Amino acid sequence: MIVVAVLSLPFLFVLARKPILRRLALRNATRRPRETALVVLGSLLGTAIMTGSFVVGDTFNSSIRRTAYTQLGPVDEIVSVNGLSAGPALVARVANVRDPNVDGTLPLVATSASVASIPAPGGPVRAAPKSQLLETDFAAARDFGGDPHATGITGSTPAAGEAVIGIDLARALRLGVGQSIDAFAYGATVPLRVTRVLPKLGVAGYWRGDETASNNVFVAPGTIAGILGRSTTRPAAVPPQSIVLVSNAGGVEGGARLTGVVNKLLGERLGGLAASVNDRKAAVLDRADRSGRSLSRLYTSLGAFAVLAGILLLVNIFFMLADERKSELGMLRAVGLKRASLIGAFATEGWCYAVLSAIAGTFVGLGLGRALMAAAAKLFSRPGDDSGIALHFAFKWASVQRGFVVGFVIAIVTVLLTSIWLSRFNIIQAIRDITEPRRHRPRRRSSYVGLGGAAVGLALTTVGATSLSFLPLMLGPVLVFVGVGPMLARNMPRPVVNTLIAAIVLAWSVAAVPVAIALNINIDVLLFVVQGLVLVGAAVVLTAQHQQSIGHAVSRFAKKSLALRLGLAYPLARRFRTSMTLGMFALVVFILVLVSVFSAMFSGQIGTFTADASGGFDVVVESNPSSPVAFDALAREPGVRAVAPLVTTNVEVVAAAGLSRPREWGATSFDARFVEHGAPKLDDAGGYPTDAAAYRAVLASTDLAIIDASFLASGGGPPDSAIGLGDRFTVEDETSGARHTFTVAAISTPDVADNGIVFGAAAGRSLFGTRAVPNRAYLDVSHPQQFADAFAGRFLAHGGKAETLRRVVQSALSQQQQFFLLMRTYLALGLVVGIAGIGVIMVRAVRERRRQVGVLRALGFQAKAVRAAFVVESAFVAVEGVLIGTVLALVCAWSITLTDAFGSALSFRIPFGAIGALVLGTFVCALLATAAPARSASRIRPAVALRLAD
Amino acid sequence: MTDPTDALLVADCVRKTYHTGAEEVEALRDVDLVVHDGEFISIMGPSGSGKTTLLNCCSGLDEIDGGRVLLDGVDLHSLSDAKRTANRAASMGFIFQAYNLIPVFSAVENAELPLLLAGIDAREARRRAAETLERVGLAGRLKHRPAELSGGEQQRVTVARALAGRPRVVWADEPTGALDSETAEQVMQLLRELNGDGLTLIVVTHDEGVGASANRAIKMRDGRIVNDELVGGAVGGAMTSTPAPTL
Repeated sequence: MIVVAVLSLPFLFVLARKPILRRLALRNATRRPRETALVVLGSLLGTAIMTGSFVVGDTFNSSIRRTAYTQLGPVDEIVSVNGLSAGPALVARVANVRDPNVDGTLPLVATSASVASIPAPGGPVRAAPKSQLLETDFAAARDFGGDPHATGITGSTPAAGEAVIGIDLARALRLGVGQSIDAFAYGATVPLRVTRVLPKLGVAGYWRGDETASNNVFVAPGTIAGILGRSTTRPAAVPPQSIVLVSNAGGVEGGARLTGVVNKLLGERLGGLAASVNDRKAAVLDRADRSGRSLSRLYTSLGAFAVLAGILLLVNIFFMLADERKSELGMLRAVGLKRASLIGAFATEGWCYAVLSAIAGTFVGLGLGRALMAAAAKLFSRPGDDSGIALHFAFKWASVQRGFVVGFVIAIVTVLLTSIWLSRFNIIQAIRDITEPRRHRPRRRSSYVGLGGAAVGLALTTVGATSLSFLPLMLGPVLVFVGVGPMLARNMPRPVVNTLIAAIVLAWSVAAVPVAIALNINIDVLLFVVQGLVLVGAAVVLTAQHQQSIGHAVSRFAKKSLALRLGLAYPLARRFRTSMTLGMFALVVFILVLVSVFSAMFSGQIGTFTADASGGFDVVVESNPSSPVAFDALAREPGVRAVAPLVTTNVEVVAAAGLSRPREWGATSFDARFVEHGAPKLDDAGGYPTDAAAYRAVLASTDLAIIDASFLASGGGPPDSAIGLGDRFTVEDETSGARHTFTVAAISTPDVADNGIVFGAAAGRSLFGTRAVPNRAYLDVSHPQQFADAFAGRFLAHGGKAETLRRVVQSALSQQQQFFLLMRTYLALGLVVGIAGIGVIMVRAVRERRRQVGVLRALGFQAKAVRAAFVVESAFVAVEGVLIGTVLALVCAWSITLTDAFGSALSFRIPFGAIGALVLGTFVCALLATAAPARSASRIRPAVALRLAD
Repeated sequence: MTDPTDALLVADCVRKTYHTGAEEVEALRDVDLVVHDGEFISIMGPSGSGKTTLLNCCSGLDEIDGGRVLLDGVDLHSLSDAKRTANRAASMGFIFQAYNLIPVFSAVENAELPLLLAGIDAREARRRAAETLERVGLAGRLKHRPAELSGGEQQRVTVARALAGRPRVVWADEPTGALDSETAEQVMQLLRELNGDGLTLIVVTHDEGVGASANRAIKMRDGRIVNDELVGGAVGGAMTSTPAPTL
């Protein structure tokens, strides 16, 4: 806000101490309230888009942060050992820790389990395959961390045969107090009666995995040991865990700040005990911040197109205002008003608009953010999916302020620069309303400035090429081409020079992304914005240069239509203004079409993606790690042609290039059966001749792994660290604390089946030890859908779940499509800028041409022809803008698919329907926005317009 | 009083009142006027006397509050806006003090507007517009836009525009008001020649010199015609300031 105050000081000074300038500014601003409202409307969208983007980030941040309260509460660190026998040693070393940084500790025993409701006769069985059994002392749990309300624990510890369940499980199984459930683990079944339902909060909601649902069953101490005693199966993949939860001083969020100190303390206390210390709270908060920032950045970057369109609109409006007041401004200069004062008056008027639009835009942005998040909430939280984020709208005042400040600064800088530019007029020509003659040759000074720019461009190009950095590599040559323009124009006809340079810049902008990808340069979302901007700029210059020829070609179709001639005459004659409007439309259409094309290209690849991801298999099955399905037996069933068992669990990536703090990531180990049947396709097999050779090399080694391109990515944005072929990274088993370092041997196609890091069985055994028991498998079966439908019922006690790989791909693509849809909805706001802009421009045009319309009407121009002329004018500009944006986006998308940036499976595809709807919708909306001003123009009474009164 | 049955234009008890907030200004008070083909009429009077209002109302540019205006026997104000506009395009030309050319059109494009509005073929319209511009001395300025022409040249384009469609009557509002005396005289000479060719001209002016060029001088005061007399050899016939007979 200090920035706003400082930037406002000169204008406040003008308002307070310069009565003439104040009068000019305020009276001009309030002279036509309806038009002032339109100007503010046109300008507020930039602020709204920025505020909306920040609010999206805040909502994601806050929603993920809620996990800290709902699934952890006072829990900051989780200290765990495998098995029950090591429990007492762990508790002895950690549970009695006394330190000012530690609020308390809570011993706990946990094991994963599958839970099913016991139905009434004839009723359906409902199951929650991913659940956990927990044992703890409820009295101690309530005291844990010093705030009983943060733990969610009430009542007494459950007695034998009793279950206190979490609200998520109660909802999933649709049951309540007094009803019964079966818990399945280690081959045993335990019948339990529900005595209480706890909220999803703190210890009651304790959950360590990625899932957002906490399917918890608190049971009597000794129940898990009893289950193990009755176990009839071989050792389970994941044994029960003895845990001590640690609460740091400083409340739910504040405690995470002490994690480093407490970790060190716990390490000392554990001594040689093979226990894992997991700083879950800090990781959740870090993930919240990272996702929030990442999404804010994504939305802000893409929203930049709409913001830029808003800036062009503002410039256009100011040019129109200046044109209308040309004589008045000339007179003011003639009677002695200094140029600086004129800038002051104009900019102060603009300051009034900027303040109003920034305030209104902030509120609109909040509403926009809320609407977006309401749509996104449905997308991210789907029924039956435990992994989605439950989005809750939230915003920080700091973000609202930031939106206001950014919007205000953009508006005021635009206004100020435009005012300075506009004040450079010839007084006599302004008074007499004579068009200033165009300079045929640029000034020598312009040539020198241009050459300076070209030198900077050359330096940038060199830096970009040597450091393999996209931005300087993209912009450097553009600056060189544009910089030499004025010098060339001194010796060659200006139109030829402009055409040449615009064409070269256009070609380079299209080629830049493929070139960068070929050079393995990392491309950021923001860079697509820069590319789009340069592309559109060059295309608009090129179009403006040949506007007359385009106009003549169009008028040939309707030689006799005077309305058409008149409608085209204005945009063709006022090239600067037309270019601004064209740019505005082209920018927003460009990004919308680009996103639509990418959306279509991904959605059209379901067959390819399925084939790539399945590796010859049809179905993927999962089971609870405490009681996995016997996959070898499954292989002998009729209709099952092949089974490739996998060990899948989460690991902590503790070291990787650019990784700021440990990240939890999926990991899967495979054996020879996975490769023999085909294995999922690789995007880059590294130095290996075939995909199979790469998989075999990984299988044979304990140090090689396969990752996909989104490894360590978060929040839909770019990955935190760029890990590629040959890079090394270290993972840690969350249960045993064992570490292993891998080298990236190959890059897989998009990991739609959530395999995560893929490595060989030997590496899996080395990392997970005896727990490396398969809990997941890829199957080749004769009737995939039937098999998948029947699987859960058949393997209820194992927490069995099966899905066809086609369905898995479909589901992943569907989520992606919805994300694209959300992006398009957001980007469509840019269209609102464009359409509102054309409305504002046409309203101003009617005002400006009132007298001319009067003359035309006097000469015999029919009212409907006047209306048609205005409609033709806006239609011409809208069609040109839409065409430029569409063509550029298609060329851009096509050029990207020439590379393998998004995988070789992605082929160029034009979504004719979506683009057609977009183009038609934009066109129709532009016409609708023109309807009111056109009607008002047609109603102008000639005598009034001509002001023929005596 | 002349016979109004063969009149080109008859204004009968025309009234016009402007409303400015709570205030009412009677700009025309039961004005009667008969104009015959080929007349060159000047309308003079002090500011606010109703000269321009009379021009606006009689040409159909503005609505009237009472009375009627007949052009070739057709009641202009009983026509729809579209028909009245078509009527203007077919039979009237206008010359304004402020030129009022379309800035994005060249001289020839401005001049051909009435022809195109009358539905004449584009090629023919261009030829005739160019011819008219040549006649007003702008043969070398056909492609120039108004901003590239001097005031006198712009006014001559306006004259050409008013004449190109070969209208029955040309209305001119202070046609020389923005011109220097030499250019003003050239424009008036041009208008006299055109009147000599049979064109009906009605000119609103403050300029006694311009008024003297006309065959008939009408003086207005407070929304009424206070004097109407022949000042030269009438080309198209006599005039009257007495109420027009019922038609």
